[in-house]
Amino acid sequence: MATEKILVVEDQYIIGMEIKDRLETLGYDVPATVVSGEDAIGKTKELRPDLILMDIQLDGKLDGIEAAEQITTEFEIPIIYLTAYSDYRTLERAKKNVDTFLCLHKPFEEKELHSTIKQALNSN
Amino acid sequence: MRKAPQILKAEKSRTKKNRQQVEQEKARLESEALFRALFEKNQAVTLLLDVEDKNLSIVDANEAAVKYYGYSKDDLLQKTIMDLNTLPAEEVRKKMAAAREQNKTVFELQHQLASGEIRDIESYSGPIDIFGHKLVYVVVHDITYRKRSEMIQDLLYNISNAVHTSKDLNELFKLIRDELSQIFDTTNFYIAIYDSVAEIVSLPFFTEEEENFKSFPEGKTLAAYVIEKNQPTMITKGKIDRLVEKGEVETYGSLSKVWLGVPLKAKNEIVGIIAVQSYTSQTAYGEEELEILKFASDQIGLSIERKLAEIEIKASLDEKIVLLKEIHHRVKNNLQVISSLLYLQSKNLTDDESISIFLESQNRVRSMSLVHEKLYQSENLAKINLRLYIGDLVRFLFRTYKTNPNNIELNLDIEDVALDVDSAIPCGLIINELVSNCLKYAFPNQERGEIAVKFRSKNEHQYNLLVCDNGIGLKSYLETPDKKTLGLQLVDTLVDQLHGKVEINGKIGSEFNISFFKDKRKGKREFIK
Repeated sequence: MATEKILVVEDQYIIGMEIKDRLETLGYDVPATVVSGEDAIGKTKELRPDLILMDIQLDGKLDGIEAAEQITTEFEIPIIYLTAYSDYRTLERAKKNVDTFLCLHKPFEEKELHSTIKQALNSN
Repeated sequence: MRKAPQILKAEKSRTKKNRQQVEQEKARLESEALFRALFEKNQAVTLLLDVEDKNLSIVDANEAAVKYYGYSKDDLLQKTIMDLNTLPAEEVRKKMAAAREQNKTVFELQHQLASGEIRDIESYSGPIDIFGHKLVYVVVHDITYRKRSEMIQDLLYNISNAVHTSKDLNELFKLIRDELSQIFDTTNFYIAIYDSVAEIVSLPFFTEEEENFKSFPEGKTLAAYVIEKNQPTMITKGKIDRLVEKGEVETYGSLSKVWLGVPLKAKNEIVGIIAVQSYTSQTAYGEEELEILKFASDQIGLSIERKLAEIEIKASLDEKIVLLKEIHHRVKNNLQVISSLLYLQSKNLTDDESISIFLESQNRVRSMSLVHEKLYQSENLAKINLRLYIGDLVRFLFRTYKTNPNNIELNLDIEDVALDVDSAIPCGLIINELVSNCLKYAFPNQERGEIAVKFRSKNEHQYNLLVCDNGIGLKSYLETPDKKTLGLQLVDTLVDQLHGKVEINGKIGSEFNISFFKDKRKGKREFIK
């Protein structure tokens, strides 16, 4: 089985590093970690990842949900939102637009991360 | 020929009698003239009425009365008092009867003059009996001015009161309009708010009968003219015509006969105008109305100032709330970054003990970051809901230690308590240490068991936190209480930080029972004892 490519979108660089490391430990390929919605869209076009881990609060004009909306109109790529408890109200917006809504609450633990990723990749 | 003495005497006596009669007659006439003059020349308007006539016909009226009512004396004597009253005869009789009952000789009414003008009067009356003919005299005192100034007093008081009692500016405008309409015609009344940047005058409140626009360009309107002159202004038709001729004013819509406008000022800046106009009568308003309008305008200005100050305070408060949220958010992010750093550094470690130490440190940092996350979600940004916080924290720990929920049951019983950040962080760290210990050591062989975390108000002054499990107990701690793990040393220190006390039971399972004061200052005093 080819290694799945996962794009990480997280505005805190060091938290992004941790997520990348955890994903690689689980055996996934992380070709890029970006910090803005605009870069997320650009990298998605360039790399065509199998999955995107998307933080809600991002650098730049777009937030995670807006970036995800733009991506899903062009590509059929599953997206897992990375959230804080405080993002719940924002998440209501995201829930309206997708059939299967997936999110991981930060700080998350490796087992949860793994099972949610498997769920996302299978549903696709 | 000489007359007989008797005759002479008789004649003399007759002459004396005649002279006496003449004298008496003269005195009577003089007295009559005096009283007539007292009546006729009296400056007080006086009427004499016939009580035997149901409508109280006027039988006499003095010069002052003729002048006051504006009828000729003959015309006046054709009338009854009911013709002068504005109230129906029935009402007047009731008032008179009521006054008689209370032994009052004074009452207030309204009389109409020949010109049609209606005046407020006060009448003083009393009965006169002339040879059995019953009359009543009435002295009429005009109180129109007194009444009006009383009304103006009330009105000014009510307007200045309205500034404090009205909910918003629109309610205030309406109250002011209602008050003003008691003393002059406010059919065509408006309050305009002037936007100096857009040069537009908008009408948040107006009751114009002939116009129908809600806002208009400032341009060369009368409103603009008043704003430009920056003082209360009364303009009559002739003046409007002259201003139009000079090109200083361009008129829109109908032309008014008289127009009053007063600038509205807040903080010395013109924020609008208040105006009233009449399309029918040039004498509808005068200087007095202008003064009253100016007073109303001052009051509205004060109210606008207060509203502006409120808006400013609100805006500055909102800004501070946003900043405070932002700070909590950043603290949370920074703590999560520290946690990530610890994780990244622990990646190169190989021995389990070191990895475990790094994991514990990460969890401590995350317990603290969760407090800040809860804080910026909380309503007052100073206290957090402990039930939500402890719930999230303990569930996070269960996940971190990869606990199988089928093995270990979690029993949470947390009261809905709002705790400030100074107490919440030590509390969170204590729970972090104790629950981590339970998860790591209480059930070494994957036994089934239970961990309970309870937080409640012990009494009026103290909180109680209980963390316990039904695992293997605290054997090594009980044997060598001086050799505490870092975790338990931290618990001791944090309990001290809360100025609280801890009781430890470790024979059957483990139990940590912590009490601390709700009011930290009080706790401190107890602690020092």
